[in-house]
Amino acid sequence: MNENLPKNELLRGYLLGELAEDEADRLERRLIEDDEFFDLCEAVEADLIAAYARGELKTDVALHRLVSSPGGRARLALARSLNSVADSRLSESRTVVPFRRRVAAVVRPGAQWALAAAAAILVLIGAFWFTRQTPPESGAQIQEVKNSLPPTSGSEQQPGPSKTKALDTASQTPPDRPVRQDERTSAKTPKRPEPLKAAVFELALTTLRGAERAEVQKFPVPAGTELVEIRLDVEGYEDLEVFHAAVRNQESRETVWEKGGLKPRRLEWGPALVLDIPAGRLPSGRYEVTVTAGTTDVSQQFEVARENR
Amino acid sequence: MTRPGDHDATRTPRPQGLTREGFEALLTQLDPDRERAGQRYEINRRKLVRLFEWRGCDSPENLTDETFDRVARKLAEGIELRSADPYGYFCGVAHLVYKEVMRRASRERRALEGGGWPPPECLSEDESPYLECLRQCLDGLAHEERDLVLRYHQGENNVRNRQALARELGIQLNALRIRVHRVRRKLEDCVHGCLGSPSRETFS
Repeated sequence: MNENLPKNELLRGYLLGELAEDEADRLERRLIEDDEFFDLCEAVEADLIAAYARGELKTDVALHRLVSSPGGRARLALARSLNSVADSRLSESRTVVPFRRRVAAVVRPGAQWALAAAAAILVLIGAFWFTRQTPPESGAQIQEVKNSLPPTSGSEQQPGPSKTKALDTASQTPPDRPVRQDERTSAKTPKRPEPLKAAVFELALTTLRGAERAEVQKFPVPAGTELVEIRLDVEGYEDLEVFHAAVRNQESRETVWEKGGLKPRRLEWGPALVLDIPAGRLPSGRYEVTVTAGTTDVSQQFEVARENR
Repeated sequence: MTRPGDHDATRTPRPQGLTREGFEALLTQLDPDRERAGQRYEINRRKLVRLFEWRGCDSPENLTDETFDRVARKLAEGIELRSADPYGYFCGVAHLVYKEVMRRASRERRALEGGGWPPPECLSEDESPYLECLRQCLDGLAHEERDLVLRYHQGENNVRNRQALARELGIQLNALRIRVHRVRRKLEDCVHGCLGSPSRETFS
């Protein structure tokens, strides 16, 4: 038995009839001897049935066998009912918070510039009056005051949070330090590159192979998508540290993307390998992503459905 | 592992076809203490029933009885189970029984592997009695257990929910699976009792 495989993966393979005979025999011996391992096997079976009840798994021979016996039908009925009660509880607990535009935080562009212009005029008048009243050696202070004005020519800022923040700064307080002349003249902030339009998929890996996999997830890729980000759940494989990933087109058998030296990232739901694949390499079709680390080899199939405009 | 209160050694049912002497010899081999032996017998019986189910056998309880019957007959012939591996013998005999069944049913298996099976029908078309019983049984659970099992089953694509739940409880995902499954077993027994159908733990 491959002790490196996560136990739930091994048990899933056993329940779906994917293990070799001798491996299944050894596993059953352990099931008889180890009560906790047996409980885990029943738990994995219940999870499979619950996923099947939600329509998340396609029917195949092994699943049909699990849910067709009298005991299996009872477990399926329990799973359906539990899913139903749990989902109705979820929908009852959700409260809709109406979106309220934070009007106070957004200052209209026209008003901002008008305010800035008015402030500049006042400062100029004050500076003019000041120079008329004070000795010449204070001239350096005037230049510093002038330099501290927010840039009135302004940058071509895009709508969104960044612009909101910039507007707040301009309308409320001047910068904490004098702005140098070269900074003022180059006050147009460089245009931040637009982020690529990305579609994000999440997949769980499996050691199971062959045409009898229980599930092939289908991912829609909207028109205009430039990048496909595939997040592979590698929980249980974190100790392997460095991975090689390859994506192969199942129809043409061609490897469309591969990369080595990949390390898991900690996402909010757990450790994952993140693959950034140019969308052009994934036309509609079925693919298999294979991840290798040492002697461990896991994979998963998925289907891409490109959407037209 | 036994659940509290779920065994009475004096009421351990004896499989049909097994003599009293054979049954007693079997229990003695499982454990010198009669009460513990009865508990182990019931646990092992349940496990074998599930193993035969998982192997796709039609009559898992009959096959389990056959297994115990054969082990008891061997014990009556003088074979002793090795103390280091008492359950391995049960497993070995169960595999033999299974292989015999599979040889007999090989043609049936080929037909089964033809594929194209539609999803199975529900236990009963009208699920409302089942749902009603489940609701009553959920109300009978401790609040933490009810919350746990419902949160575990909530939402589509709920793998992420489960991982988050495991992190919240500070346990591994497999430990969460086992914990939830023990609650599900309670619910299963309760619902069967509510519906008036025999619990899976009742031997024929």
